Amino acid sequence: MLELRGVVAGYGRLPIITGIDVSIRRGETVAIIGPNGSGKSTLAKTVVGLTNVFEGTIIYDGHEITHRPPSERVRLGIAYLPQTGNVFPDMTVLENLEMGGYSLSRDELKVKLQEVLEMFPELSGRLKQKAGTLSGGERQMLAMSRLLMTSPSLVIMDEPSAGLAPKMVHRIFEKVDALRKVGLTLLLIEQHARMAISHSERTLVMVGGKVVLSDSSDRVSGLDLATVFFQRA
Amino acid sequence: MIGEGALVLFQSFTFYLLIYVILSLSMNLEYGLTGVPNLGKVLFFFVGAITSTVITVNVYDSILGTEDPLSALAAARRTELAASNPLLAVGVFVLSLISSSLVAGVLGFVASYPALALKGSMLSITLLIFGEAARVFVRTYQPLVGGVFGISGISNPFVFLRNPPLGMTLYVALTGAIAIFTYLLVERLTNSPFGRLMKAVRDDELAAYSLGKDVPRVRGQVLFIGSAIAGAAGSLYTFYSQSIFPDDYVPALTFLVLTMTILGGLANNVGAVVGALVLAVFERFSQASTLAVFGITVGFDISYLRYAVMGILIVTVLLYRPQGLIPEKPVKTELYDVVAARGRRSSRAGS
Amino acid sequence: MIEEALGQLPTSLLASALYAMAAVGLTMNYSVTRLADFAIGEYITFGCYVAALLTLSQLDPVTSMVLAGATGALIALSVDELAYKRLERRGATLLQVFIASVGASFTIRYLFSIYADIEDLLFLTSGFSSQPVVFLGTRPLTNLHVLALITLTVTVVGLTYLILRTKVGKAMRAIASNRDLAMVSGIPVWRIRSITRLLTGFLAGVSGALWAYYTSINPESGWRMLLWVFSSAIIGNFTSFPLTLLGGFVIGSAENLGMWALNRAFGLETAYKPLIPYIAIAAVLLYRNRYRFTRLVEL
Ligand SMILES: Nc1ncnc2c1ncn2[C@@H]1O[C@H](COP(=O)(O)OP(=O)(O)O)[C@@H](O)[C@H]1O
Ligand SMILES: [Mg+2]
Repeated sequence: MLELRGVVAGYGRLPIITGIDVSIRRGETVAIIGPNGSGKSTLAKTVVGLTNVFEGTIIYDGHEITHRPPSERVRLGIAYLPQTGNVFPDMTVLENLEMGGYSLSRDELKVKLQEVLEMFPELSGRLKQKAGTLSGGERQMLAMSRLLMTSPSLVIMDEPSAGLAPKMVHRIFEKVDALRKVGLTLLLIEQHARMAISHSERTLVMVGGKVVLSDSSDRVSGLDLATVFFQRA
Repeated sequence: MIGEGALVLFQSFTFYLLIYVILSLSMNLEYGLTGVPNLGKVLFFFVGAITSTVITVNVYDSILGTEDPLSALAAARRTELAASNPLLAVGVFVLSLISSSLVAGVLGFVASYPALALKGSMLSITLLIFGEAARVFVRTYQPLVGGVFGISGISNPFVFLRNPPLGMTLYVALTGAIAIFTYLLVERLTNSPFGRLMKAVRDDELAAYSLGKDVPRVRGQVLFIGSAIAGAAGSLYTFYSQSIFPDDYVPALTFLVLTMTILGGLANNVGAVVGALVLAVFERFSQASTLAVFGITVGFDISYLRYAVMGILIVTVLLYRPQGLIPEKPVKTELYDVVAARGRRSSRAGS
Repeated sequence: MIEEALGQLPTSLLASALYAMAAVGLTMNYSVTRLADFAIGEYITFGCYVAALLTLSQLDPVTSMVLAGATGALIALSVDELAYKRLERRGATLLQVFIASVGASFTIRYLFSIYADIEDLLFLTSGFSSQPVVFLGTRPLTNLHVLALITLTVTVVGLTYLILRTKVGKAMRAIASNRDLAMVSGIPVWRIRSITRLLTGFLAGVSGALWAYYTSINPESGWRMLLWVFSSAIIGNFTSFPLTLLGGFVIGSAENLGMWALNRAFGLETAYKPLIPYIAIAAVLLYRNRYRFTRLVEL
């Protein structure tokens, strides 16, 4: 469903990820872990089209999208939750969701909202509240629910559980499981490596802008991660 | 007779070219290297002209005891005094030149202060607004340089030769020497550690901040240097035209200089000179008076065409050749060499 | 005394309304595109000329004003398509696009000047005839003042509704707040940008029309107004609509009401009138500079 071949990408003229080869199957959940600054976020942004690609090709659902603008990728079914700034803080929860489903007609929007709020009932009571005044956990919930407004088939989440209390982290992973259950293809970037591994089929380990390990999550869970992170660096 | 006319034309072209070179170099320092397009350039040029005028007129008039400095008679008496007293004339010129750069430099630092907190485009718009404010003030406030009618009788230091063509040739040569000095100064600055700092501010303000650099201060310093250079140019221009008229100092001059810098290639001093040369040729030869010499007339004010071409040049260069005629070279500093060498080594080790 | 001050009011209000309207357009443009479009002066100029020529050929002032706005809108959109968007797609920095807008401004202004010179339109007075409605002190409040105030009110109410209630307006806010997020949310950023350009150009054109009804015009009319429009927008930080409106009123009143007050209080000669708005803007910037570091990162 998603394939990156020899991708070199970065910001300005500076490459950050160098020579990425990744292939993701439909319906699969893939965790991406690695130390800070290893280029995980850059990889995610490259898939949605927010970086400059210097080499290689990206293919999604049979379309070559290497240099397509983000809006087109959204239309093709890619949804992305950024690591920071993932809601519009000055707009209400409802407006945030409306923006997520911008291309929908009024009726479609109503149906979609219903559907999304069923999955995220905790937002129902807060539709008129400004997103900036939500708690950290609620904000992540809003960001995740916004993803679903475009009816995507591939969802990329960049550290949805970052900075949250342990109880909230569990709630987030419950939602991740819920997304898996409805058959979405998931790319999950996580600092909570153990959690991510146990909630995915496959795990990629990134170090220094490269994918240094790609294996089934069962096997990766048996490894000593510290060794993987730092010996391969 | 024709020979003399040609000489005058040549002198005037060379002089304007030199002034444009100096201004373009200073704009390049600010815009090309630091990322601050100083749309108030003409202000600092003007301040240099005002400073020189005020010093010269006051010195001569206090010696002469003139009552009405604005009158034609007073102007003639100042010229006569300068012609009969070469030491005084040279002294006043040197004093004016130095004071002009200092005053303009300090003003560059101060006038930009309220706007330093603003980013690139806001800062330059504010400088433009201040430039127009200054012109409006000076053309209204008579005591400074005679208001809208200006003042004349500001002789160049070679008037004692009592041979205007020769005196002017020498004066243009002197301006040339100062232009060369400016080039060397700016080139040296570009390749110094301060040059790297300027580029750091230009390329990534936030990164420069996080490295502990005081970005507004770097901008202030650059505006000091750039404005001092423009001030010196203003002084040179005043002694060339031997007069000052506030309405000569309009924003169009700033935009002309900006076009030179962009056309030549930003962050590149050779480019700034080349840009100045190309546009000086264009600007000088698209004057109605010059065209009339060749028997060409058009059905509209030719200056409109000149400005339109400037605008078209800016847009087309940015669209089709943003690096300008001569692209930017990397900075030459020891630190750069070290960093570059380390970069090469680590990329080799990495692959 | 009070009567005299009141007498300054109509002109101040008119100038304020003009600056505020164009400045709000400029701010809107900046919020969505991050570009302080220098060529806005030219959209104003075209507004001036269209309104003047149409009223001279006996069209009514309101229709002429709307058509002037439409012309401004069309030009603003074309400049974006021909220059700014292309530059951005080629990876130009924001500063480069700004400088390009300076170039675009010169190109339009002086190509038009050539045309105006050949057609003998360098100085033009519109066919609008100003009639007093009521008297404030010694000065009349004319139908022009009324028209300007109604237009401004309609603009403010309309824009407020647009921005707070409509989908397009919300998308504008979303883009202003986080462009990347807006893009990956599927908001058609480029289309919203075009709509914004049309609105900016429209407001500039309308404000040009009112200017043409007020006084005689020339190809540099917009450029003369540009400095005041930018000053108003700078007061509003290029982000806040209420502050930009206030900015328009500060700048617009400074020249008339402010001059009158300074003349009264300190005997300042009226010849310095053009200088007053500059002082206002310098004061605002100096005041604002106390927050220099936070601002620098934000803007
Ligand atoms: N917008 C940016 N511009 C320039 N460099 C960036 C930018 N974002 C991240 N980087 C750099 O890219 C590298 C990888 O960052 P990132 O992809 O965020 O890593 P991770 O998500 O794995 O922590 C870091 O060295 C970081 O400094
Ligand atoms: Mg990250």
